Amino acid sequence: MTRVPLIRLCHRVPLFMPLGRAIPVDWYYHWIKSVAPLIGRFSRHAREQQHYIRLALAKSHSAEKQLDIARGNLIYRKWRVCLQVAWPNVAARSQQWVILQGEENLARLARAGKGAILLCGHSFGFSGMAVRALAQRGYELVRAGAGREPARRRRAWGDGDFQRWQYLGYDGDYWQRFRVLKRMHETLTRNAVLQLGIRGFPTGNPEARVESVYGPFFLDRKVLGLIEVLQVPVLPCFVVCDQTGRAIIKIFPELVPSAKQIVSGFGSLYADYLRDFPEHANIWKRVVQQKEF
Amino acid sequence: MNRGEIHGCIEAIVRELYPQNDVAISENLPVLGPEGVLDSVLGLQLLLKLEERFGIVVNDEEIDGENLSSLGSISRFVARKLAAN
Repeated sequence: MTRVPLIRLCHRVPLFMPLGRAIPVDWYYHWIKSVAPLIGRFSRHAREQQHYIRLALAKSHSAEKQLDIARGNLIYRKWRVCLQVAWPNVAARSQQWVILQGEENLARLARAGKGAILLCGHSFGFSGMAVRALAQRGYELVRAGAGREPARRRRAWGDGDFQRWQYLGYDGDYWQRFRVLKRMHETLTRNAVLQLGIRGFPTGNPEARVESVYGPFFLDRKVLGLIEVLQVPVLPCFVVCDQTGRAIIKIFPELVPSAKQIVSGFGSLYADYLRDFPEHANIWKRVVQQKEF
Repeated sequence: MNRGEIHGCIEAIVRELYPQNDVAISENLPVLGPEGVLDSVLGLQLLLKLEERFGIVVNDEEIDGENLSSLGSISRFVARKLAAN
């Protein structure tokens, strides 16, 4: 994990944790913004990212804007790690660090008792923050993905936080993935919220096509199929950061669980977010390489 | 419900889900699994339909190639579950 020594000192070393909580979030954010250009100068990975962003946005943005977005992307990626490191220390007073918009959309479905799917762009924004912030608000959350194993997640986010929500990893053989799908269904039948990230593909079925300012992409047919099988309402959810560094979690009104509705409803929101917050997307290298993101 | 009726019900469900439903569905046709004709999402749909149709609950540890790979193995598994209930 990227080292963020000041944030780690303030939020993970017990002696400094009360001080860490007392310091406003924007102070940390401005510190990251000020050191990011230095990181960008010496980090090979940052330079590589900048290169791919410029290639991906060559047709849609001016050279100056491309540089702005590349810098914003670097700040965002560093800040994302900071939020993760700080979270165990600030979760109890998370309203200073996280702004939740559209919670009423989720609350309505929770009252109806049939579960809900929180649908995010797979490589867009800080969707990991959504499950944690919502779990902190008392919802039962399950996140599904193929990512890192729980032990590493525990180390990254802290033990306390990990107890509040469940992670379903579908790494493994066919039958293991099958069991995970079954568990997703069981999760929803007990009125929990299932968070899914959906990938975009460079080619695909025309019915899954989404238009964006960077060209068309195609939503993952398997996830669309899964949503149709699970048959619970879908809440599009996007997480970006504001100018003070606070994570803005926006939950949109529910969509009917049909592929057509998800492609038009979620797809257009996703395209809007990619247009308005390109620096929050970790997709550019894969876009240039014509791979799924 | 006898074995034949169970088999017929399952075959009807598989036929409904199988994209190339003009192909003959034999006893040994791999339905689920790495070689199966249904992908994992359609497989989940099959499992949910089995639970609903036969009033059974398929547990985590029962989801494997021995119980669910072919039409024949699914029929035998459902018959065992029904007999145990």
